[in-house]
Amino acid sequence: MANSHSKHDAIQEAVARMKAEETIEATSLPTPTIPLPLFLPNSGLYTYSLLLPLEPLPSIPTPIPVPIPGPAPGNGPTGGVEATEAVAPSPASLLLPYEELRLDVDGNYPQMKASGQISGFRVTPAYWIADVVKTASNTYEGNIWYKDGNLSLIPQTNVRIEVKRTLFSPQSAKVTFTGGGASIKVRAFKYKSRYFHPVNFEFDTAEGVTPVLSYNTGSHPNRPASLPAENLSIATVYRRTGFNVTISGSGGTVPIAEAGANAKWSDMEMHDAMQIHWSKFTNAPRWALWTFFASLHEMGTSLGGIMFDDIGPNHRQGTSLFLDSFIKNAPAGDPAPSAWVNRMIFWTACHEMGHSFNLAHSWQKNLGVQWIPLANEPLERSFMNYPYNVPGGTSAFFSDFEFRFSNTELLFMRHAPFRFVEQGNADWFDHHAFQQANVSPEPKFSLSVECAGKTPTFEFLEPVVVHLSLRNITPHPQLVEQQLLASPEHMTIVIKKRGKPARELITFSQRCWQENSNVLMPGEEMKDSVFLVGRNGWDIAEPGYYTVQACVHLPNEDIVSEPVAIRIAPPKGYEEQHIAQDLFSDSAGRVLNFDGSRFLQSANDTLRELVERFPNSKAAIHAAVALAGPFASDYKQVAVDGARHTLKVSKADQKEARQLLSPLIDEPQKAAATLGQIDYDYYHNRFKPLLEEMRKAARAGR
Amino acid sequence: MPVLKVDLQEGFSGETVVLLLNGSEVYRGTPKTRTQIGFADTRSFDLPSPQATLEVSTPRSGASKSTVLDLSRDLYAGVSLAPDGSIVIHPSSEPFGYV
Repeated sequence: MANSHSKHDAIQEAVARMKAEETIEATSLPTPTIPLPLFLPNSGLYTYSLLLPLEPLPSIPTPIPVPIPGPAPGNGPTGGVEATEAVAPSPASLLLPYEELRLDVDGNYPQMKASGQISGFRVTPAYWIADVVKTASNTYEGNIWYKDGNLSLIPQTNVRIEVKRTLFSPQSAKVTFTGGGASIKVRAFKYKSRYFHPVNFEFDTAEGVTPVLSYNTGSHPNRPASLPAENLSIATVYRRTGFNVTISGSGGTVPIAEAGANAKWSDMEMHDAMQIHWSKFTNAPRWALWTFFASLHEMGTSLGGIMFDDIGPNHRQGTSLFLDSFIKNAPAGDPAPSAWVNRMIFWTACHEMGHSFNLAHSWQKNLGVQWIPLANEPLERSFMNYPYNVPGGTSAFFSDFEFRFSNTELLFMRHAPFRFVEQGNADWFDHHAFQQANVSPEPKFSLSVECAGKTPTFEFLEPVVVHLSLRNITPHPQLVEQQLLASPEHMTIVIKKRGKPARELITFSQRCWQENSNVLMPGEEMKDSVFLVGRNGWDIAEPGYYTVQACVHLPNEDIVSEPVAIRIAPPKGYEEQHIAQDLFSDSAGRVLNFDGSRFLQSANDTLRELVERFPNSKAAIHAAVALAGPFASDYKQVAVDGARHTLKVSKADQKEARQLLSPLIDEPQKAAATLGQIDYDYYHNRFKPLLEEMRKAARAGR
Repeated sequence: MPVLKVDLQEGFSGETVVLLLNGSEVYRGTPKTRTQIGFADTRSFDLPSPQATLEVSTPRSGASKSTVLDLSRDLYAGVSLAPDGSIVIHPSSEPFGYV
């Protein structure tokens, strides 16, 4: 009883210490007390708002983040303010405009970035990020390389920021937006905070467990020589990362009975504990996180911690540490085993909490949803890298680890659109990192995505086909690879269901083409169709709203399309729902994609059932064409009998093929509307002899 | 008797994975990696012989990898799927830890 009482006191004391830190601004130096007045850097949050009502902008749907035409990062400022004339209409004034500026040029781990948010009453906001350099005293300039959201609010491409300050503190920032053929925009922001975002932490501990909320960085001899010795708290780590950390609760104790009879925690039990014990729990996005110190997960000693909250509509609000796992085992012969363990627990806590900010592991940066593949950081000395996975292991890692996040992680946490970072907002691993595409300030082409059938609404079960169109928007002829739009390796297509993570289309096949170039004259376009089912599965299947966006990768630039909205209608009845379970399968997707198979018989059975039971549906047209393909001509298969491979040729069954292809003749408009004109013309050409016979027979029949 | 513990780690997203030990199928499943810990599934085996051949395959993609493991003492094998679909087997004399 006395022991558990002292453990309970320990977390309460640790939480109280962190709360006391809230009144002391943490700096990059381990100064235990900081004399007032503080010297504050120029970095931090500035805000602009105007309460007078002005003309509102129409509401615009939020697209997937779209990299914008602009100079590549690192190209430096343009120098001075450009006296440009607007060549495009400047955005109408906003009703109740509100803007934020995040300036990141000095202070803790400066990233030499400026970012902002532009919003107004009932208007989708816009976000931007610029690389900046210091061009004069308290003056920073650079190119905007990232835009997200309502792009009409940020047509400019350059930014100049002039900070006005007293000796001790910034007061305001005058920001001038130029370039992009848009009007010059000037904003006067007021300094608000040295931090970029707020966040609240609450810590609880399981009965019988002593938490570690801080670590003495000088307590273990294996450390960088330059690392100051200080009693570093979790809160201070995140304050230096750029968050205004507040601590709630007083360090509660969760009864071990809530872990069930085995006294080990399952994800469900931790999720329940979070809802019961976290004073800030609410199923909504907010900058708040619950961290739970426990003994063991049901997975056993191999799990040292986990961001367990990856279920439900609001992810990343809870995280746990398991102090009786492998993280309590210092290596044999370690000179300071107690300090080693404390350091490992402290590191793990900051690591798990980093996941709540949607940070992936350092070696996973190129996984998941991305516009452009990100580079992994397997050697990075970051909270998000496993110390024991780097060459030289834990010893090598901590010998030059400065208890911080990497620069790309800081960029993300400080400057990414907040919905990707904020707890409870974007799902875990969705937009965990972002990267600008290589978009030229003067693109030669435009790319558009349109529904093949011209209507954005598809029947339930109807496979979705879209057309990509690449147009030459220069006054000169342009060379482009002939098969560019038929080459998946040259494009990225992203599909996003409303409320779900974005998914990249991974096609079933890749083709190697002989290189031939086409000439696109000014204004001319090339087109091709894309079947939106691939190795990732049927990402457009359930009823609901989806967004599709594409990016074509040319040798020197990326061309990004505007997003296209698609709707899948609900099923007409139980029968459609029933067949959907078989239709939305990998094998059926392959048969449709490759226009038929004589091998994948279960998929063929499903497609045949679709044709027979739903003959008037658009999906039946797709199925019929795929079923007809293998019968339209002699069909070759490789028959495998042990080690013996033989070529088997099945004779065409043109009677069967004609019957299946009848929609192409009987209902050509309906067939073209669902297949898309490009594919309809392709099938018409491919099955031309058969279709001609059918027309002749039809004429003779009359 | 030494123990072989095989952890399926990164890159699994529900495809069928088959493990063979000395030619005998010992696991067939559809593991999914929890990206926040880089872990999907695990199996342990008691093996009498000082060596064993571990083969990992994903039948749908046709990828396969085999390696001979030294089982003179407890051994841990981490198996991952690389983004290009290839299989990576990483033996270790220490158990893997996940955070």
